[in-house]
Amino acid sequence: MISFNKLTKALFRDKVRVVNTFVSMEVVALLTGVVLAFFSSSKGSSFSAGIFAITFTISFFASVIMFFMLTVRQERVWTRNFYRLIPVSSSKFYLANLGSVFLNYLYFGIAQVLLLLIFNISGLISSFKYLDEIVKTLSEAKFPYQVIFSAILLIFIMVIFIWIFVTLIHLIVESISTFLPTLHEKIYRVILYVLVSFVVLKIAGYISNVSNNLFVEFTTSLDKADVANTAAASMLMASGYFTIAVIFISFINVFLLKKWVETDPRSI
Amino acid sequence: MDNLLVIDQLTYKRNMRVLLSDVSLTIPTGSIIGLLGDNGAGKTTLMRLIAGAATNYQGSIILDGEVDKTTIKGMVSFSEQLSGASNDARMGDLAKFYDSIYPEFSMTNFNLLAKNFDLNLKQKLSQLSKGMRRNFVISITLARRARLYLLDEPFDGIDSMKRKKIIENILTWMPDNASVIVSDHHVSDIANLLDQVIIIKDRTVVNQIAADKIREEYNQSIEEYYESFYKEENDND
Repeated sequence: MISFNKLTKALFRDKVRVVNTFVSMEVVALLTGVVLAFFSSSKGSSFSAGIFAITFTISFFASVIMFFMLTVRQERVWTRNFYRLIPVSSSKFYLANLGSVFLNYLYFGIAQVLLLLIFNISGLISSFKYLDEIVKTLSEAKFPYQVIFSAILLIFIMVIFIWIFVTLIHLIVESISTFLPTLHEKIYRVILYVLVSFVVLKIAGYISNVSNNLFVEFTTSLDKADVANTAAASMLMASGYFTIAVIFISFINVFLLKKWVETDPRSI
Repeated sequence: MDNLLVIDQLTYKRNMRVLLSDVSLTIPTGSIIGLLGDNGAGKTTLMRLIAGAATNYQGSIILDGEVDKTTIKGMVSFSEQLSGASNDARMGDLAKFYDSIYPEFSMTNFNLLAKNFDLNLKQKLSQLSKGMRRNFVISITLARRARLYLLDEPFDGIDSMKRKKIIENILTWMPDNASVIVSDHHVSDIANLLDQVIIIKDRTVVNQIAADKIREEYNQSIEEYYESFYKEENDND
């Protein structure tokens, strides 16, 4: 049987082609943006600021589109023979697919940071003369590293949470639709997606309310004067809450994959 | 001869329809079996169940003494395993994917098979004709050293020269301890290959018989024998 690492690597490579193609297209868009910024800056505005605004906007939209594309790629894997006939346990398969999507998005994120740095190099170089001043200001203001760390952790966990939440809805719909007649199947599926999303969101909302009350109690007990620590603690607690939700939903997803979700016979 | 595959009282329902009903059969090791039946009789469904693509069935599927679905997946090479692969993927990349996933996949064998079929591995799946796609599927399927090969209508849309080549490759590359189940409704193409015939009709197995017995005892060709099961229906039409 294939190891988890090998499977994750293979599934990563399977998806990375999409990321590479998309990043290549993004570079073309960024180059076009730089040319546009060059012409608009000649009318008096700052060239560096113009480039930063354009590249940041392109990168933001690219990140949203990439997130959507990877979600679609992730969901395809659950119902295709090509992937589901790989001889691995459902839990290993689930984690490897989720891991490969996450690593691809991380890879895409690193590419975004590099692209932003490269395309804004002139602005960065010109800001070097203020480097001493920036460092001094940051050290005087006690740079809130704990807040940054907590925020990044929360973002990572929320991204994973969204992916597994989409998977949950997809797998529930797949499981139920095998019991419905094939006649008007598309209509049934649309209705099912709406219904399942509504029910799952209702349940999630209820659990969220309960945990939110605990969350408020916890944060009010903290020292309000220490804003940075309070913010960091709040975000860490939210991360913990989402981690528990991720684990719980993942158990349901693996169960559905193992017991109910079959490959799509129409793809044959 | 030992039995490689034992299926007992297999029933499968999906979308409020019975797709297989009370199927029982045994496949000996080292044999080539023809799974014959009309469109919609249940041939592909039976192969899907053996391969592990569907799970909600009643009854049992035992392959070489194993009942665990994950273990069975590792022992079966199914020609529909490629369904769901991205059409933008190049054949060479898909072979590399197989090589990284399946320990028993032989890249050397795959390259030889691909060469035999004149496949250009740089081509994408979307660029292939039906025949080329079939050849690629056969190459990928046979390049795995499996215990059981499931070839679902491998000659569909293929000209007679290519059919001969596929048959030649099946015989060359099939390991001694493996068995092959070939489904088809063009019986004459595969008749000479077969050790046994399984006839599937109305979602159940109606007969399993040795090919020699059909020829010697019934003095019929496999095609005639198979068609006799559908004769009544055709006469009524």
